[in-house]
Amino acid sequence: MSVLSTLAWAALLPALSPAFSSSAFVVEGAAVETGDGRRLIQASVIVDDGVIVDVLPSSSSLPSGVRRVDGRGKVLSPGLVAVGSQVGLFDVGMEPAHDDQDLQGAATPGFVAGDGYNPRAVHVAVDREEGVTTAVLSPAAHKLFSGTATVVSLSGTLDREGAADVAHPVAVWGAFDGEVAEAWGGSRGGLVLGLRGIFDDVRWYRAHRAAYDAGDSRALALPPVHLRALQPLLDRAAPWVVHVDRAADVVAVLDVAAEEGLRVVVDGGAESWLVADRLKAADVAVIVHPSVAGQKDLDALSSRDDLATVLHKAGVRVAIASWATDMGTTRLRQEAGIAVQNGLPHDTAIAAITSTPAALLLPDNGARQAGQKRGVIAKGARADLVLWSGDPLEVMSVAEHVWIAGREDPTPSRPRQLADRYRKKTR
Amino acid sequence: MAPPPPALPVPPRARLSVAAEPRPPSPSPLVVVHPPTLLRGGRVLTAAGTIYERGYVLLKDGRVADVGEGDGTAPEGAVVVDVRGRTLTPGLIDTHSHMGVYPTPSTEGNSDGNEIGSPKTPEVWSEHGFWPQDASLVRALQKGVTTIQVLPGSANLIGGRASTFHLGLVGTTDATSARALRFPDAPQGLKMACGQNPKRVYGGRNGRPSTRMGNIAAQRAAFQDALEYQQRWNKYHRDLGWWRQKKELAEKAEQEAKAKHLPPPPAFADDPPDAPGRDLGLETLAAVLRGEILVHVHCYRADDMSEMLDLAEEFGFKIHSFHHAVEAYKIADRLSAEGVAVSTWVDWWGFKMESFDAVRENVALLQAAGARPILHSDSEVEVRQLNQEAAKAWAAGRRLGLEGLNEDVALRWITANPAWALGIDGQTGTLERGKRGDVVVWDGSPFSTYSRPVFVYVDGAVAFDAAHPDARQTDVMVGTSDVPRATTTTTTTRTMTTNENNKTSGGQR
Repeated sequence: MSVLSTLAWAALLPALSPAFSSSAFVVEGAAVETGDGRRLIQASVIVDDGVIVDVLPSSSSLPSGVRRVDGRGKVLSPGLVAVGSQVGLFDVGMEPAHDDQDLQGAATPGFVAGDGYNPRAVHVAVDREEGVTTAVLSPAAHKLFSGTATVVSLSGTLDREGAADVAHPVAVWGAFDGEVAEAWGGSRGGLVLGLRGIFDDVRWYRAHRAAYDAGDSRALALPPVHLRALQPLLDRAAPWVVHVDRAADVVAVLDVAAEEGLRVVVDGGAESWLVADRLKAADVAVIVHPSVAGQKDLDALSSRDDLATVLHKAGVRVAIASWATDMGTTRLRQEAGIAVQNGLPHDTAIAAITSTPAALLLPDNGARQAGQKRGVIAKGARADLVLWSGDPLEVMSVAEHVWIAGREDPTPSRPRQLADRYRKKTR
Repeated sequence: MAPPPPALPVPPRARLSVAAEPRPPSPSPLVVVHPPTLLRGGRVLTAAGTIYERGYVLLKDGRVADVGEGDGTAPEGAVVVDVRGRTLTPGLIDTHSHMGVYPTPSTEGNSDGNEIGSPKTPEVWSEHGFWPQDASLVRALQKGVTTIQVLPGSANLIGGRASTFHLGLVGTTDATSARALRFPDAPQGLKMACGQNPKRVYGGRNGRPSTRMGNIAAQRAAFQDALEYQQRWNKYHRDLGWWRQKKELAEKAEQEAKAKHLPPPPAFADDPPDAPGRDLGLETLAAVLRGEILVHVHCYRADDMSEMLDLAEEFGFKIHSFHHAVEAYKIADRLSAEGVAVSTWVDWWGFKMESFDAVRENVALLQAAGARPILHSDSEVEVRQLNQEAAKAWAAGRRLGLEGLNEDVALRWITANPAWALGIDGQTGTLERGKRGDVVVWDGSPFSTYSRPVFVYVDGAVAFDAAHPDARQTDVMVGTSDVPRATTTTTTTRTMTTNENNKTSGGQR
């Protein structure tokens, strides 16, 4: 955690643009967690047209005529990025007609769960109220290839704002373990065979598409719609995010990835610390679920509470994700706090739910389009911001304001409206 | 609602001749050969209305011998532990656990939490499926949990008996049976369920129940059977009493005749009455009607809870607590008036229709209405962060502007209130003189995400010491992990245990 020196502040003092739109505002005097490892003791952040236009020391004079939000004594952070979310993919759990999280089949990489995203689902506002502004939507199913992940902003609007500025697809989701292997002949060896066969078919299909279309094809492991979805993996344009816990399974995944030329992100990775050196060498990041440690099953016998810390110390990039996403991702910051309890540096934990997942899973993270960089508070980044009553990783803190691309939805979520409704009965 | 059937004479404390509590007795409280311990200099949150900013707790003979402001006095031979900068709380209590019956590592072979097949299984007991080697037990202890209630699952309308366990011995070679971990003198619970789960499990198999109507009908039928079962036993005891009296009179008459050298009266040849058949399930429900087993009902919706309260009234028993109860805030007034505890979560919601109206403010709204809210886990993950859940519930109430919330109140949600719900509030749940020595020493505020226990004491003895975090291992944790052991397995405080009950009973170990 570093504090900007006076000198650095001076460098941050460009001439203020005199012309602000009516939507402009400034969050004044808050402690700022930048999301990329820095903490500004007291700063003011100016937002206009959905973009952070400046970050100023609080002693600077602020532009006049711009709405001010008092941030003194509070903490401003980037909006949180929830990886592996199913928010908006179901309205209510266990109601088949209102649940679009999964597609049947042993391998469905072409399934884009986000195509069923409902921005008006009550869950969206609930997650947003806990500071989550971006979700990487993935299928919930535990299988070799469950589908293709997409990214949404949790603005709750029907125009699916945010989807357009992210290249599609961002990742293919999957899993590798004994449970997954049940659909592949019942053994992990069957999974490896399946993987090799599928990627062989992806290559064959690309080379022989005309023949396929002419009806002159060999038998393919998957329909073309699914084979095409795996092409970005071979092109290294998107990673395979694979849930894998057992150290030997991590090795198997890394071997297949090296053989086929894939980029991999490990999800879960209970025993991944045992092969941290290989992960670092291959620049494979791990998405850790800090509360879910312990010997939860026989694949996780060597799990540890300080997994995130051990990986971080070994030089492996760590992102943090929520537990039990069928209840939303409201616990994202609590999970990061639990990682801190177990030794992860605070700034790394903040980054693990903001800039790190953004860098990992948002291709170019806004580089192609100005004002779309997420997960950081910096000049020119998208104004996805949360003003917290205190340290966002402390469970006693609450989100007081949440802005997505500079806009705040003032309507409380349905649960908060219900609580307010019955509070009057209690009184 | 239809008029209830005429009141049936159920003597509140009629005894069955079959044991209502046919368990072998719990091991008597451990007599810990262990010097008294004075925890001195810490911030003491008693969960009994008092906070000592710089206080002490004296543990002696397994109990809290004294607690107060200042340094206290160390008795002869006491271990004095400097806990300056630390916060002391009672041991945490989880009213809703499936540890042991759905243990970790999770395997099909050890999955023993739901006796599927019949929606009413009052004859099964969670402790008969409880695996004391569950790795989660040690992990819960590490996070300050000293007492848990283990229930059967919620597939069945009547799931079976629940038992309360004390975690002082977990991860030792003494913890080889459920009985060894049983909380001494804790009443048993009955797990019941309403709403979606039973109708889904059985309706999904083209069985019954398949609707909420069927749920209630089957539960009413069960308690009607239990009333009649109790009546049969009552009648048997009356008849047996008459028979004994007649026999005594006849014997007396015979003796009198003998003494007076008169001819003997006709011989008494009546057979004693036949005892009714013993039904293990109805035995459980009859014990509920007599108030000997505490009823805990898995229920989400407010209207489901209301139906269950009506049903209990109809059959003359008390519901002691609702579990999950995410809509309890809608009927906080009734729950408060009827003295029913509520175990719930802060943010489990939306995963099924009956959880759709959950609010983060549930606990705080119940508190404001004078009810008895509790945070439970239902999870081997969440049991390790009960203190954080209390903090979240407090923060949500504060955000709504509810008054009367403070550290002591929030702490009661995970200590004193669950102790009441399990019927062990006379023994644990607060730091008060005479309570069991169940104490957590935290390295910071228990309401911080970053805090964790430095020591956990159970019955006055160290059960967890952060300096030796690996001292406790269940068997499944031995030789299966590559995680380097933090220390050797010597403990800072050597404790020796004897068990007086075993000396006379021949012992179970």
